[in-house]
Amino acid sequence: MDKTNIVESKHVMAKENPYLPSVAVVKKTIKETPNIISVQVMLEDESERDSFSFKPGQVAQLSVFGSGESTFVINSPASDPSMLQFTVMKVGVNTTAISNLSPGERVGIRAPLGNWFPCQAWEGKKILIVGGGIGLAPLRPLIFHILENRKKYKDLTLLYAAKTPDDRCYKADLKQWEASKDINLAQTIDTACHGWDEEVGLCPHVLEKMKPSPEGTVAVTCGPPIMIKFTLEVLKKLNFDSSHVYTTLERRMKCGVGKCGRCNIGEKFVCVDGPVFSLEELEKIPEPFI
Amino acid sequence: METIYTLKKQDLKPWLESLAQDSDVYVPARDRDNSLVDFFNLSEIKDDLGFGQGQEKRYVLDLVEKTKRSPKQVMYPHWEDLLDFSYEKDPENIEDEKIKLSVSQEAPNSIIFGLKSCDCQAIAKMDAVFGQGIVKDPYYMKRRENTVLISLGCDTVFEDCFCTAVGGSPYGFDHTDLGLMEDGDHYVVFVYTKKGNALAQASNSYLAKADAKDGQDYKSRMQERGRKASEKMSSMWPKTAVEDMAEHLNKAFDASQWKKVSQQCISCGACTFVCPTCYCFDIRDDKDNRQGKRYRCWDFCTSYLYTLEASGHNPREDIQKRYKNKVNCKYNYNFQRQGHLYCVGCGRCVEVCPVDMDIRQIVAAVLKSKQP
Repeated sequence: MDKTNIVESKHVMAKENPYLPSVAVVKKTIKETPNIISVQVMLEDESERDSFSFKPGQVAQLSVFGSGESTFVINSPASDPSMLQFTVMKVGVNTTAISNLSPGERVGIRAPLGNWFPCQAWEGKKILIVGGGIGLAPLRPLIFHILENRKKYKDLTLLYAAKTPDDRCYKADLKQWEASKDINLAQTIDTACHGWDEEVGLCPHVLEKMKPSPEGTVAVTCGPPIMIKFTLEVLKKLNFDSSHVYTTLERRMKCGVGKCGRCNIGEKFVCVDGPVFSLEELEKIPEPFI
Repeated sequence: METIYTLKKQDLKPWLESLAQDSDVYVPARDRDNSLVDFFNLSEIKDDLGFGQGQEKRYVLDLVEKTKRSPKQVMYPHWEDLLDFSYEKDPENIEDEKIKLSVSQEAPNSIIFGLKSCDCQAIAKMDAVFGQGIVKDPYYMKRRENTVLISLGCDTVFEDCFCTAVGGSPYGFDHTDLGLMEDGDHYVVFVYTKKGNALAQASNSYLAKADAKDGQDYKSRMQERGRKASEKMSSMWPKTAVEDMAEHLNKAFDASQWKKVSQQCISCGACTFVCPTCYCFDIRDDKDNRQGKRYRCWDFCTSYLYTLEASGHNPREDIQKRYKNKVNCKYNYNFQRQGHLYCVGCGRCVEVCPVDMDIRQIVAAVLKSKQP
């Protein structure tokens, strides 16, 4: 990932005070799974909304004032930056506050932060996307980008893994993609259950069985840390070159602009050097990234 | 800048007190219990410390002792409000509750007296974190711009000091505004920056310009004293090849010694609290009914909570990983990012550690393990 990417990213940096959020209004909430919800928000200030843009893979600091800020990827299509969607698993104080939001309520947004998927460099290639659970969120704007620019890419394959059919996010998208010729969708769940006629088994195992060819292919993965770890191992085993394997990482970020020191992996800061990293880059860092 | 002044020792306190009329002047002083020396605001010192008549001895203006904490909190306070927020109902539409955000930041004119060269080096490193990168930190920068640094050359080398081992020197005045050298019944004042020059010119009732010949003499004496103090310190703790540290630490990342050297650490964070270059912070919200504030506060990487994610996943769940990160942050990661070590050899962490960990010994032990 070349560093010029970061300099181009304008919105937060253009502000004199990078800690001051923009106010956004909740427009819609969607229950994805029993403990995961998506919130769609719109920047309140019209001129800010008009000048806002982001790229697939970039993140935001989303805050409920009084509960605090947390980092989430913007998972709606980058082609429509007027509405921003975030997907949140209810696990802590802030994610609970976000899960309890209703349309009309105000939140704070500091975005876009971090780098993005180098989609342009991938043009002309086959794209293999491997997502697990809520880890499909950062991959979603990438999928939309490829679908919107379908002719620029060769085969697009998505392997999506979840614990149970109910634990899958974006069920409406999945249904559409299942019917689409533009994307090959494979889905797997951890253990067999009634009415499920797709793959059964852990994501890395299913991937190994699928045996995708590394030839002219870029692989992108995101999911729980343990899934990323084993998926990367399988990709290596399938002879994918580290420079063609990408992942997007998470750390407990605070400032989002490379000051607070919280999100380092070795000498890299996830907030400015990432969250998108190639495996080649990660292999050079002595500190484990999982 | 070439101008050199002299200041009579008896005029030091009156000079600082005169400066305190327009600025917050921080000076080293002993606390109420006589237990430690730290930087205190001169104009608040009487209230804060219960200084009464005849207790002037609590000022430690000659500063032979080392201050317990670094002066970083003057520019980078422990807690600092980033913004205030309030929920306000729209009178037109009572259902609609808007958010109002405001930022009010105080950045008083400040003067810190009695820094050592290590403290000034450290401030230059803080400047790099908060003043460079993809965006500047406006809170730090505003305070920093309004702060003048007056430092004092070190002739006393303490057991914990090791500035020469990490590229510093006891008379390293390169990041100070005014540098003082104690000389009999007066101080020699060297001017290094525009800010320092302005302060010196405004202090003409206390500072006397040295003539060119004396100036030359003072300068060579200062260099000689610096050389002597450096030699003394180097003999206690040998110079490290600063440029090679990052590479060596990368090679030693998986060294088995890490486990042994880090197991004593109790994750108390005292070392970070006193460190002049530790800059990590947390951002938190505080809400009371319908209004509140977002603030930042210092944080420390040896804490379990530092990297604990809401999911329960913790990339640095054991102390070995956390301590290794701390050492690498100081001698490796920041060297790769900023081009210099984030340790100035002040030795405060060595002095304060409740379980007697000595970062010098630890780095040496780890690096030794990887040498052929």
